[in-house]
Amino acid sequence: MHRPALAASLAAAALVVAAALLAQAGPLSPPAGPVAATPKTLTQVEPRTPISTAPITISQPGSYYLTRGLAVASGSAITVTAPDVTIDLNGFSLRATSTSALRGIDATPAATGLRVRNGAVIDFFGNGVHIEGRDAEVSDLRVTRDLAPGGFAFGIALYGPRARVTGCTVRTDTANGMNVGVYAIGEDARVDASSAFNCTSGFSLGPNAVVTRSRAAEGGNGFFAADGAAISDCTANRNSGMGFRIGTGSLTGCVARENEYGFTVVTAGVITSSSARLNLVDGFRLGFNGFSNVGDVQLIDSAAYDNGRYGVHAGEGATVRGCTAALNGRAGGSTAEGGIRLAADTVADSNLAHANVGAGISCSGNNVRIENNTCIANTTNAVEYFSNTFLVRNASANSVTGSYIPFGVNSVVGPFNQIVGTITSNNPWTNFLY
Amino acid sequence: MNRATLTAACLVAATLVASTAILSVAGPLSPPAGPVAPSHKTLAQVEPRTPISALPLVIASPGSYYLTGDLSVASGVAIEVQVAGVSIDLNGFSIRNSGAATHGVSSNQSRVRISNGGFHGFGQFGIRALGSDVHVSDVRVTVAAPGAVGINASGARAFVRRCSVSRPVGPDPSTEFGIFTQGVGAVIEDCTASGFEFGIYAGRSAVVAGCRASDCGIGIFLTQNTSVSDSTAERNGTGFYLVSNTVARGCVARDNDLGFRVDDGSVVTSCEARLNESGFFAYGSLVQDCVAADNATDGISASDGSVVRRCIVSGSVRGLSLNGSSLADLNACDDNSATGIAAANSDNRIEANTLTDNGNGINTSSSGNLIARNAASGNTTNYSTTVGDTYGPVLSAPGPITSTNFWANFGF
Repeated sequence: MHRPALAASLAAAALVVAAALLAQAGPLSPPAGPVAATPKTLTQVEPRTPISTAPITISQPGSYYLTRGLAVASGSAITVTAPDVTIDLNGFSLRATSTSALRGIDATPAATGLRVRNGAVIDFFGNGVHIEGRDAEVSDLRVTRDLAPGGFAFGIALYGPRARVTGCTVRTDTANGMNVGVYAIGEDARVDASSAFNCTSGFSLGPNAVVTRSRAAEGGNGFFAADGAAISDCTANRNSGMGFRIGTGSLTGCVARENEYGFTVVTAGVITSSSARLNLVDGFRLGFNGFSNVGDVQLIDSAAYDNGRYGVHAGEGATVRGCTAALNGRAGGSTAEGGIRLAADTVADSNLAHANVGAGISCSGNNVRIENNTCIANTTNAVEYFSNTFLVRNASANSVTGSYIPFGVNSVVGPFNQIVGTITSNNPWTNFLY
Repeated sequence: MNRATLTAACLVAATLVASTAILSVAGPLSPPAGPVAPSHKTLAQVEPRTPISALPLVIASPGSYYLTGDLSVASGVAIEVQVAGVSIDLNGFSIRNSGAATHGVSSNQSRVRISNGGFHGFGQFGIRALGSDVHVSDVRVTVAAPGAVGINASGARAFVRRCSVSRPVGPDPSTEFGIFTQGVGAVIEDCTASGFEFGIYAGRSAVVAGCRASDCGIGIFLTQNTSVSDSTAERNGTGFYLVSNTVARGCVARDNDLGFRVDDGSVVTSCEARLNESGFFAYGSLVQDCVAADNATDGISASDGSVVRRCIVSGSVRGLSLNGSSLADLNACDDNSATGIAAANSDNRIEANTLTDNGNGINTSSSGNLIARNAASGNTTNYSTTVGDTYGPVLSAPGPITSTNFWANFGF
């Protein structure tokens, strides 16, 4: 090859290389016209993973969403085996079409941090939502079971610690159709603005649960919580068992009506600013473990109104302070029924007992302190007390049969003073009849 | 190296460079293993919900629906839901009555959800969703016609959150409810109602929180076994009406005819009534740790087994009125023009209250009350009792207290 031929060959090779490089680099000049946004891809518009069929198993972390309502005839609709999964039902439902379909959401212990939200779970024969991993969050779910009586089913069952339930409703219309509405048995559960209706137990909660703004109605027990519960601003209505039951903890601003028992605190705790009305037996039952009434329970600033047996039934060690008990005892029965019932070693301080059927305040044990209470217009006696009672500074008005009636000995009692006009006694422990 | 060899070497090198460059952008030429499958989302997967772009509409299939823009309708019902399990996302848009339309949404079905938009000007109902488990959230409703209802979610377990309903003018007896949840177990959170006969009506076992009612006949009406907290009522006939065993915490009533009506075993705690005609009216209930200030006639009126405890009552004609069988203790009554505490009926216990700068400190007009351990100062008349009352002696000497009478009332 002579020199011109060599030069041509080199030029041709350079052109090929340049063309290849240009094809990779793209144009260097900006396009003509004003700058405009490039269109989003569909993956950018909806980066989450769609779920269009069931049953399905999610084994990778990520965010998933339903594209339509899904139904299954057996097994579980969505099984989750991976951590950090979010499932948005997107307003759609998971539905069972036979009693062989057990769970709507079925998450193994490995599925930690699972979030499920925004839709309905309908008619599953087992647990509607079943999550075994820790840190589960369910929100804005409606879980119902109308078509499948029998079995042992929870609406929402969360077994790990730190579960959260927000804005959920669990309901069944069939007798024995749902054993527990919300079952959050791990420690430190949080329940807000949720409701359980017609379940054998509305809410069954593990240790240290916090429950706010929730409702339980027309079931067996309304709220049933282990030790350390803090329940506030909740209502329990027409449950055949207990409206609220905690082992230890606090109940604040809660309302119970037309249950068998309005409030039960088993071992120790505080009930504040709450109201019980028209409960079949007792409005408030303090320190009751199933066998005897023993517990360190305070009932403060609350109202018991028109309950069947006692407005307040206080077990050993309880304190009842600043409460009203009115119109209780109307279910009839023994003459001991009435406003406030005190077991041994209790304190009743600064309460008002008004128009109860029976005594305003009565005792079933010794060593009781009854101080600064006011009893008005109760149908039997104002105060009935046993031995070793400390009875001071109370006031009785308009009781039907008597005012301060002892049934024991060795009590320390302020003088009774039935006086009209100026109180001349200097005794600060006086009990008044006026 | 001869020329031919040099030329061949140059060509091979150039071809290799070019091939490498081309291969770096071309990707593999072989298809992936396995069957052919789509590698992208469909539009139906990206937005699986059903669009609503024209009205009127009847929804007869369950599912999730959304508005594509503002819509109007001239007659009848804008959206009628005939099946359970329907979600309607207004998507930030509104539906308006452009003529004689009666309902924004009408449904008797359960599990209906409506969210995120507005309904305006409908003649009867903004939303009428009567089935159970209805959820309404982030919705604005305005109505103008007499008798119109903002949101009627009267089935069981209704959930109404972050909604506002309003009429442009004040309450009309024929205009019934702003938010009406008559069924058991409703939750009403963070809502406002203005201009209705009943602003917010909550049925049995409801929870109401963070709500506001103004310019209504009754601002917030709670039937029985309910809880209301952190809510306000302003310029209503009655601000809060607690019919039966309801707990109210942290609520404020201002500039109503009556701030709080509290009946039958209810508990009101840490609430304020200010600038109302009357602050609190309690029947068989407990009012504690509250403030009744600058109400025109009565600060707190209590009867039939009520307890009023640890309250501040000031700036009214009668601060605290006891109408029989009630207990008032540890209250502070200041600057009430007629009386700090007035007992109009018998069997009240009035103890350990503080009365300052009232007309009468304590005044009874019926016998049979117990009055002890109160302190009254700066009142026109500190104590005015009735024959038949029982009361501690009134001690008024300045200086060290020499009396040992524990029940003494003090006037100074």
